[in-house]
Amino acid sequence: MPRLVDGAGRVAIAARMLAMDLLRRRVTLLLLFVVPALFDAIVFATTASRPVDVLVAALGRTSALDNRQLTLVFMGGAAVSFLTCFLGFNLVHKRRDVDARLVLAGFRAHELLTAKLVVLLSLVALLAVYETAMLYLCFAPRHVLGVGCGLLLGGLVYGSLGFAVGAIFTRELEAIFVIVLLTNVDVGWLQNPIYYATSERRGLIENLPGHYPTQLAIVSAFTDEAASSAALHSLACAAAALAAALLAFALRVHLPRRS
Amino acid sequence: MRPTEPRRPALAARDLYKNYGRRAVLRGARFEAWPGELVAVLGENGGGKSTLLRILAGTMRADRGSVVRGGAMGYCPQDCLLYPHLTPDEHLALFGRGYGLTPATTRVRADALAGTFGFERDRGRVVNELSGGTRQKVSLSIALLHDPPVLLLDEPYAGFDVETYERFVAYSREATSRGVCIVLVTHIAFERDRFDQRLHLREGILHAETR
Repeated sequence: MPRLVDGAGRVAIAARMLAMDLLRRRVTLLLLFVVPALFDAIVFATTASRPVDVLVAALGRTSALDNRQLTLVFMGGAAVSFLTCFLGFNLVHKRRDVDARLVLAGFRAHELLTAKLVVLLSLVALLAVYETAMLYLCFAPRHVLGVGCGLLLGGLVYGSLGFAVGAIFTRELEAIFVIVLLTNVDVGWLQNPIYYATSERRGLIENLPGHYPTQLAIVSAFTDEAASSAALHSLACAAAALAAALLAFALRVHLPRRS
Repeated sequence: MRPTEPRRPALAARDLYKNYGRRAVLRGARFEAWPGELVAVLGENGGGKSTLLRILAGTMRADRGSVVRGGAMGYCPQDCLLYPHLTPDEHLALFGRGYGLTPATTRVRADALAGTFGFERDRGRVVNELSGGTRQKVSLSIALLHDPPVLLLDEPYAGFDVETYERFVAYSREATSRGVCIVLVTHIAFERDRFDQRLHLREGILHAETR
């Protein structure tokens, strides 16, 4: 029992220090709080509020939705996924030498990994709540909790993928290129319901990691339909992404064994 | 300082081999360091001194050979491996927890080390705002925080001013007198007589020159 308490204490202090090291960066703070607001402001300023017929993939039928509100939800999901991908990347990349030193000092590798995951999950939750609140200021979604869950799970999927990218790529430029490409193509482009409706390769889009979380947010925002299928698929995607992140960390980040 | 009765060495390297691609950096390096000894590892830049120390510390694996460690170690790497947005005090609290020290003990040790190496005024500033020399002092203090019986220091006084260097020399004298074994990598050996062993790393082999 005392070993468990000691381990929990080490995880707690490592998570606290990681979070402080991350949140004291002005650029990170700017990204976290300004980017979602900026995305929403741009949508508000440039997108007309008029009905558009879109094919909602999770429902399998076309619905007439407000173009501005739909774009706000879609872009909100994109903003959360993009930011959490960068956060996940930052928690791993360039920290492995300090991590190795911490292991020599007595931390166990799994404690440091747990601390990183705690920080990632906390920031994903914070961002999802923040973005949901921003959306709520713009319009009243039918089911706010469902929208928040969609953003949260999308953030968890992309936060985990960012984590994996940080473990796999040692060079920063290549990693950033992968993050920008991955998030832009999936949640920033192909998951746009207007694009999805006209696509001839819907099967491909439905297999991308951002699909189900985006659908969960859209169905919850605009309908009273049950979104349980999208929610379960989103959870499965998040679990798979997290497993991929842990595998990448185990295979690529070689921390010394505690002697 | 070499013991008269048979004792276990504080640190022993047994036939260490390490290659980077086809380039052999260590080719059967071996030595023993005893409690209370101050050992210098000398050699040219890029000669493999830091690789040897990383292997001794355990942050890198040798291709062949083994390391025997007699107890807890303090390791100060050549590059200050610190979080850029944490303060020295926060680093010491974090590593203190890893070493298993209580917060109160960590504070007492941190106060003493900050006084010894003269970074009291910088304890609340984040590492990014500190000079290279102060970062080095913090990195060294992390290695010394738990007062371990073995210290592995990779050019610990790079960036120190003369006064801090002298304080470091005094500290190392006091520590070795208490039985602490210090293995120190350097490419310039000041005060050659102060070392109990001088190990020259040439072409991957350690050439011992005992005083």
